[in-house]
Amino acid sequence: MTTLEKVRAVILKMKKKNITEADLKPEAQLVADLKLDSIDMAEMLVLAEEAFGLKISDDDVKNLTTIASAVEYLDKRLAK
Amino acid sequence: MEETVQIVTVDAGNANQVATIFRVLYGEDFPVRDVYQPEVLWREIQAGRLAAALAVDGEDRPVGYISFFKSAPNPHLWEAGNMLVVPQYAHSGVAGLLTAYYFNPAVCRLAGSDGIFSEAVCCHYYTQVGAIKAGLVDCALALDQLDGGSFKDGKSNKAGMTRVSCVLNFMELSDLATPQYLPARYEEKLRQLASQLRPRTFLPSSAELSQMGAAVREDKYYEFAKTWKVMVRSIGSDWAEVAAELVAEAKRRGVISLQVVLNTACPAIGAATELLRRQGFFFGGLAPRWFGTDGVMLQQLFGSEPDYEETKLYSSAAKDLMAFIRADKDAVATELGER
Repeated sequence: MTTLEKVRAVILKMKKKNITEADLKPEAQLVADLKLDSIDMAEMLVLAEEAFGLKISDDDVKNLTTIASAVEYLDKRLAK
Repeated sequence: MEETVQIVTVDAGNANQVATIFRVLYGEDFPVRDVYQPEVLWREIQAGRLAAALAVDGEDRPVGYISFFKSAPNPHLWEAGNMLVVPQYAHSGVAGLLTAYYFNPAVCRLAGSDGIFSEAVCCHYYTQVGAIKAGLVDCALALDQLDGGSFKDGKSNKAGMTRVSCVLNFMELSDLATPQYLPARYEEKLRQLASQLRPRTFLPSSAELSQMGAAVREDKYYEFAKTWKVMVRSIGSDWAEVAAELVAEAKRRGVISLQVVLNTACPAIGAATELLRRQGFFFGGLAPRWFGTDGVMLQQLFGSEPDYEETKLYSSAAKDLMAFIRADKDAVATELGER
């Protein structure tokens, strides 16, 4: 499974009614397009930490604005 | 956005801005009425019962708030709560700035206190994640403490839980010099929870219940939540009667969550714990510095069964604690012949 596929799986696991697989394009904005609020973002962080086996800081979370930026961040962390 | 935000301590000059920010999110409906009354806030701050800070933007408009107040028997213990950030800044890191303002140990704006605790709801992860990342550690779990219907916004209780459990998390700010007595039944778990805190000395609790004196306790009854918290500073010769009466009174009041915190300064805490179990109580966790010394929390539910599947727990300590509590709850029910 690629990082992009895993990020998509994390977001789908949140069971947001308004989000379908088709919405999860790399350029999709987490807040503006997917309508994730701060509670959703916290859930995404928890599920991503579980899925990728790492800890993500608050400072890093606020820089994750799109699915692509999340994938790029996670790939960098996993490469270390 | 975040770069323009400053955190300022609430004082007489800006206390009126607290009401402004609560009106943005709650109108006039926030249940803690003090936030709408600047003179009350300032009086509480001057009396040392409240500490609070505002996040303000580049034009001095309030965009976030955090407060600390006294709710435990120990007057040197702060509870963190009522934090909010306006929606425009929800993803800007303002919440982190507000928590760092007080939780950064290098700054120590709550110097001289024994610690800070918070109660993080388990219908979402937001508060738990914030607390853990601010450096607090999970110590206790109060099952079904809140009424799920009280989450009016519909966002924070998305699963529509009938009752919502809370994780009690803690940051210790002073050393605990006196020895703590631990009930043998929960000693291992309590030592494990306390190992996240500053070093402390434990003694086994092998004393019999006192032959003299009456139990000394403080009660807090939250009628809207049907939650009754009983804090027992001293265990007396009347403990068996007190424990039985607590359960009877809880049933009369229609209580759903009954919590009893026993003081670890009491050598007979082990005997008192066993009596509570015979009345249907099970483990809740460690309440650090509750009385200055620590507390051991036991709890009982009436007519409510936690929704374990929907309960969201972030830390591994909280997940382990939930498994322990669930097993203990089942064990008590089996011992009492309820299963």
